[in-house]
Amino acid sequence: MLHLLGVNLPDQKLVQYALPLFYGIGQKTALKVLATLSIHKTCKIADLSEPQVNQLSTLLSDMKIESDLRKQIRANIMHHRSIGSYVGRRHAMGLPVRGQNTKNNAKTARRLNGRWLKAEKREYSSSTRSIIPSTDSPFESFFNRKWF
Amino acid sequence: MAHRFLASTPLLRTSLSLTARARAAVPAQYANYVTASAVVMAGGKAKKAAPKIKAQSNSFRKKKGADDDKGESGSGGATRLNEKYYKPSVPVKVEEFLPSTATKEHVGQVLGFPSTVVPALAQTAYPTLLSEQFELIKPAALVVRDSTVSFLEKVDKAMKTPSAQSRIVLTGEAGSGKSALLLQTVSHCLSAGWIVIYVPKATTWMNSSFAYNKVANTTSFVQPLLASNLVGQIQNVNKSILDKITTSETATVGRHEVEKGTKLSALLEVGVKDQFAAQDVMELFMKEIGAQKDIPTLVAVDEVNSLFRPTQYLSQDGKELDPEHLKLSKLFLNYISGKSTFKHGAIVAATSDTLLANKSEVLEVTLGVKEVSPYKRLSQTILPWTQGLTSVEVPNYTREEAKGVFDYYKKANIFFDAASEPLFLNKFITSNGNPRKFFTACAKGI
Repeated sequence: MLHLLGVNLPDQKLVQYALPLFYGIGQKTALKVLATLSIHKTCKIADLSEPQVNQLSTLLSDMKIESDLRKQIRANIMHHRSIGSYVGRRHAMGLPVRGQNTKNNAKTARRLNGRWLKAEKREYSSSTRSIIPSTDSPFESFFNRKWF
Repeated sequence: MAHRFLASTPLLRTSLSLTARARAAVPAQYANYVTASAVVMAGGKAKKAAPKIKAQSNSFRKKKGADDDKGESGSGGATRLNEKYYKPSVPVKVEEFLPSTATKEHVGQVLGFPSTVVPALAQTAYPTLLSEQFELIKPAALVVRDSTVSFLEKVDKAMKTPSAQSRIVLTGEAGSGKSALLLQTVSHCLSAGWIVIYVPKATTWMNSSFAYNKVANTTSFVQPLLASNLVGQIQNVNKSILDKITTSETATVGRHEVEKGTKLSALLEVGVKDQFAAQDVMELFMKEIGAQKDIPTLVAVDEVNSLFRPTQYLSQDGKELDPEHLKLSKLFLNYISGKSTFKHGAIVAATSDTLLANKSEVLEVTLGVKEVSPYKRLSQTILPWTQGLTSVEVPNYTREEAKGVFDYYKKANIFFDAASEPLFLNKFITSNGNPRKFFTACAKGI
């Protein structure tokens, strides 16, 4: 088990398929990383040498992954929320943002779209929430509160 | 092997389920209770579910013989075949395939690899599909064909000429015997005392299965472990011969100094022990054996089409590397294309149709095996490496050769029908004489 930048990489996994375990690295980026470091495609995590692991660690820390990436995404959505745009409102309501139909088929949006704002809310504890004035209009704070 | 499976077991009689029986026996208000009768019935059902003795069909019994009843059921292990149902083949006594026996008189005879050659061939492993046949029928043996005799004559003529003049590629349809002919050439040359460098699977060099490192300030890459493995194989295959040749001058290989007059076997030992010096060892080795005239060299490469197409390795830009960017492949490509030469020797290669993805269009077009539209642009980086190669086509079996092989298969007991002319014709015609299909027709009855 190689522990790298907060993620556990199992030893028997191919490096090509272990790298996407990082948030922010998919299959294409994984291959690019392999190419940059001259690691062959059938290399397993256990086969990596110490200098290779260090190089990998350096390369990954230069990329925007994991918590840095999550912060960026959250910040982008919060920006929309704070300026009161349509996009922000849709994120807040957990509805499709990009103009999709909602008469039928908005299931994924309803399931996934609110989560960045909820995460943001969770960050501020309930004790501070009453102190910090809400940026929502009364109409929006009516909709945003969890009634049940 | 004739795979014969047991006849399907008779279906168990459908019976009332446990719950149905329990419901029938017990009054409604106690339906949810576990009753003693339910427990007893459960025990009874477990006994009934014990494995029944499987009925065996008569035809199996006849062929297997008397020791069937005595023998236990086959030992465990998922990979081992159950001896009760899979009959092993019988080892056949065959003469040795020597330079003296590879003649026109022996065409159609199946000859085994000589005892001196077998340990050498074991170092490098046989080509994939051939090795399956050799696993089945021991000892490893191949039939002497017309093409074998003529090809070996060609190779013998090349003994006293530079290798740049004898760069041959064996072509032919899938399963026609290219790898087998290459193996026979390797065996012939080993028996005749040549230095033999045999690469049974060049694809493994290109499919990103070995580690690779960039050489600083160049576009080339080294494969240290692969080079080290190859050096070890060459050393084991040619042990006795390499003691006779020594290096002609002092050289540096990796971090080691090699003095003038070192035996080549000692030089190869350096490459085995230090994989990062192995590439330099290989280059020096090829230079030294090429410079001497006493002992000819054979370089035999199977699956050579993978040397003429982009590899699966990636450059630092993410683009696929060409074989010329890998130092070991480039070394071999130099000899195959004639850029470097042995003073006495030959280069023989065989294409392989095993994996469609490994086919090299450039090679096929240059050899004249395939025609493409003249507007199609062939890789200009790979095309120069294919110039000057001669193509030798390996045909399917002639009737005489197929007959010899058929008799051999019968002796090896891989099929159980009586060996008759109609049966032979059946197998020969349905497979069109294609060696691999002929083997499958005989061994698996398809």
